[in-house]
Amino acid sequence: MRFSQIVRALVVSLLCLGTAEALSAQGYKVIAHPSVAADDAPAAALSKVFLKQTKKLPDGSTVTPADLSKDSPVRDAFTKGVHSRTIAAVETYWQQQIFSGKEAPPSTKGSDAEMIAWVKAPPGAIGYVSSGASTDGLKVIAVK
Amino acid sequence: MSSPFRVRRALVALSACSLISALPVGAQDDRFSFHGSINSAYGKSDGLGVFGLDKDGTSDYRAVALLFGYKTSENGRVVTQLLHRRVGSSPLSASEAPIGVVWAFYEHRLDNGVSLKFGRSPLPRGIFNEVRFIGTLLPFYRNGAAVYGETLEYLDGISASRRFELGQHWSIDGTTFAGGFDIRAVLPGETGSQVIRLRAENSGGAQVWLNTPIDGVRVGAFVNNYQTTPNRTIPEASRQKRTTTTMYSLDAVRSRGFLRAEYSAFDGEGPSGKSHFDSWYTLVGVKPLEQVTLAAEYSKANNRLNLPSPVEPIMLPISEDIGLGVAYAVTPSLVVKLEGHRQEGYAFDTSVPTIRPPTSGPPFRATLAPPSKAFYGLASIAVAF
Repeated sequence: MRFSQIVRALVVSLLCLGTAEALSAQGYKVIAHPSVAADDAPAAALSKVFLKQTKKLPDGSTVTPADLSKDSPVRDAFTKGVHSRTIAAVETYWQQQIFSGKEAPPSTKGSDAEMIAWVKAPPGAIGYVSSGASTDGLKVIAVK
Repeated sequence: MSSPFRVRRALVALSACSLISALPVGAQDDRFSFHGSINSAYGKSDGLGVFGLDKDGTSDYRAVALLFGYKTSENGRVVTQLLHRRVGSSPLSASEAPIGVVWAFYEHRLDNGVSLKFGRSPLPRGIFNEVRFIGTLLPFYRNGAAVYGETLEYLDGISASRRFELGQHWSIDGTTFAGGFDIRAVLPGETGSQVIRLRAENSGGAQVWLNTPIDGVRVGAFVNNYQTTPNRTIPEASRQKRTTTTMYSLDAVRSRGFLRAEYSAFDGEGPSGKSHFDSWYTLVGVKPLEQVTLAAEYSKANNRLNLPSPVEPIMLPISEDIGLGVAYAVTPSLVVKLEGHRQEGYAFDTSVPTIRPPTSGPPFRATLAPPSKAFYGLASIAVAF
């Protein structure tokens, strides 16, 4: 590999890193089916919902969560913001749950569009998308 | 083999392969889930056989678990786990079925948060019992054998679990259960170790965890009372009494390290008299990097044997194990480990001297032979999907 090719590869890698960081910095918003009454919820309560430790939000709404895929920068931002953990730590948590016969993780959606389509369908669905995504017709839940 | 039978078998195999290949790795949809774990090692000891390792070394050392779940309704699901396990030259290898059904249960969740499990389900006991073969969740190849042994792995019966929120970020996770389970023990004998297989029935117990406001820190207690069988055909006077096993746990896991300690005890009554068994371990780990774990473990097991009168009781320090290990998590689902242990005591696959006969006259005291020791090491890889 010539020197110019190495430099080009490094520049591309840095640009990719920059893109990932930008997406992470872009943040997330929690969305839910319009049937969910809550307008906001504490991060700790949302964490319990997405870790399937409860099915209810503090206002009593029954919800079913879904996650974005593990390599999504939006999931990274959500995991740090809501769970206060890394994705690796949450993955280890799910291994613990799965292999102790307790719980299966939420289903995963591959993109904002897929998540939005899913949240629109079943009453009580809750998920998250990038903060710039269009969420017309959905309930946006503020994280307290 | 007849031709139609061969064709039928090929079709069944093809259908199974098609079903598995059609699923993404670690597949899950809204109803069906499929997960697996492979924990595979090469190990060697410097002399005496210990945990199936000897001085020839062996790569016939693994535990493979496949887990299938199917959601039957919003509140119900069935789960089964198949286990294939090899333990090198240990007599356990010969006593294990090639593939065993270690779980097969139906779970129903009530609206009040209670989870009911019916069938063969993982027995909640301490920190590691339910995940004792899942290498990606263990700092060493296996969890502390002194405390967990080869028994109390699963329950044939019913269990009920629930979380109770106490406020101020305190909570309790409680499980109560009833049923029976298999007891297996690898005991040293005159010609080496042998596997004892028994069955416990009419068992009842509970596991309780108190979760503290500090994320990842909890304390637990386990109690189980059971009757070892067969008992019905034994004369009333010489029947074994019911046995109670207790266990206490401290589990503190933080992002940069962990501290875990557990103590377990039970009383037994065999043909040679009563005994009191207790064991404990302390496990400490630090994570200088998120992917790297350095772990140290000290475990010890004692058996206080009440020998037939007039011989005085004797304390047999069965085993003392010191282990050091390093684990590198390429991802949370792919972990490679290197570990070394020093074991001293009387629990080896190879026959070692244990108790010397009591003196023929007073004070009728048995004595212990000097303990034996062995160093052993394992290099392992663990995958979960």
